[in-house]
Amino acid sequence: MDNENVLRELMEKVKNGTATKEERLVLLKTMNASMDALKILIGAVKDEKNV
Amino acid sequence: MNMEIKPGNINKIEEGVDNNAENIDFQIEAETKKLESSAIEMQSEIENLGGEEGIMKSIKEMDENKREEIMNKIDSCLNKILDNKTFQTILQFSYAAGVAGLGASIVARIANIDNDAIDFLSRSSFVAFVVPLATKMISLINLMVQESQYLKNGATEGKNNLE
Repeated sequence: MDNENVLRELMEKVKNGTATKEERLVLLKTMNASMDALKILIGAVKDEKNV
Repeated sequence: MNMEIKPGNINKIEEGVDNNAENIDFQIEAETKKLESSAIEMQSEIENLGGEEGIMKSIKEMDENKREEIMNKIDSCLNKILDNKTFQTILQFSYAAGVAGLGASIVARIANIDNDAIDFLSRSSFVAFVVPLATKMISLINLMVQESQYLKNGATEGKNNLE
């Protein structure tokens, strides 16, 4: 299973109300860390395009 | 990872999550706000850069030094994810909650990231590493925007199976 599907599966738990608070927090932290990597990528593309 | 899991000792095995109920609510709220803010910002940035296609085109056209610089920064972010015990924590909580199959999925996720890391270390092909990663992340950002409301609502509506 790829990363995105795993994340979808975890989110399904949140949507179904079966995730614990700790799981939600861990998931949020993971997503924010992934977001940091995405920001780096987007920033680099902006530099490249001189936007 | 082999430590026996009991609801009462979660604090002892996870440094990143404070099991105090009030503090967890506070942390969830703070992380959710951060995620929502980032998601809105990134969604707008992606659109301004020509969407997924435009971003992919720019990445492919970057010079090699620039790519190297970005790779190092992204690698640092991936390490942050892997090093902060997040995945071990998910495994532990999944076990505690009795969620069949989820642990195996997380292991698969770790394996995927490790494969990416191996590609990164080999540096054989920037496009082979970064383009699939970027594609995943752009898919992820769309997912985050769609689903972030559920995470926020879950903070108050979800069940805490450890209590």
